[in-house]
Amino acid sequence: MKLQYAIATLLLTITSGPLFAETLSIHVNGMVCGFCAQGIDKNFRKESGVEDVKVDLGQKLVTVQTKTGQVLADEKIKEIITGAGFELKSIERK
Amino acid sequence: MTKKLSPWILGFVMPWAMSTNLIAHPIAYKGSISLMSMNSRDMNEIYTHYSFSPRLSLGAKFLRIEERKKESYSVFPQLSVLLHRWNQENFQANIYAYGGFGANKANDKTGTTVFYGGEADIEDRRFYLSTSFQGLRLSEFRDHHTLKARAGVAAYVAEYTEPAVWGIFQYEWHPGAEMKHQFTPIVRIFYKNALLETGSSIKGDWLLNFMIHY
Repeated sequence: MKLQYAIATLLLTITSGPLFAETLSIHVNGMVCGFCAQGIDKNFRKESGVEDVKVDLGQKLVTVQTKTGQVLADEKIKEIITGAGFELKSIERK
Repeated sequence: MTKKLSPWILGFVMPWAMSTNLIAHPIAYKGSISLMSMNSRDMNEIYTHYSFSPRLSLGAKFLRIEERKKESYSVFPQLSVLLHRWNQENFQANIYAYGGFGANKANDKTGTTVFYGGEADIEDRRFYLSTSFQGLRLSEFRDHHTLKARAGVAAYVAEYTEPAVWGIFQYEWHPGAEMKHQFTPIVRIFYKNALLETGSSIKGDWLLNFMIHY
């Protein structure tokens, strides 16, 4: 019975995504103005899996915290950055 | 190729190669709606547009011009296109073109308005240069052409969560107008999705511009 419970838990975990929240460090080219960067902030916050967004103009860095168990695909990140008019340089996941 | 170009060389060459949408970009981020208004002693402009992408927006513009105690009113749709953007690590530069065709009313007559223009800008977190050219052909009023150039410097390097304050010096050339040359120092403040500009020319002509997008 315990073995069956453990297997079921494992399967549920595998199929439902990561157990932890992700911190995405997104490096962006062209992000020099806070007024123009509003689109990045707004469109990341529209995503249901996003917990928090921070924009750092000095580091040209957007930090996105996902909700527990939620994943934000690279394609979606690129779509948001380019849709805001900027160029995606790199993504780091922690 | 563009990575090898100094941003400031690019900034000086580009503007003069090509000026009243100049308070901010005529296209915002994908899916956004923008509202802007530019006002001076003899001109009021209200423009709202939808950005289909960072490269294309469509909007509607209302324009009132007063000259020698006579008034002209124009209403027209405007299409704006981003021709090229340089997104570099420490700066962004843009070239836009736009145009529209609609109605003009002046001197108790109704006719047509043809609007066309282009603008270029370059900015980093501390400096800003832009220029634009705009033509307005009014069937019932004098045609208007404007060449505008701006140079701005930030009062401080603002973080994303802080209000930003800029000092801008604007030069306008209006061929055919009584006052051909106009120099206006401007203060620009923006915070989050709202931008406000105000200034007064050396001869005392005021201006008040604002923009918001959501």
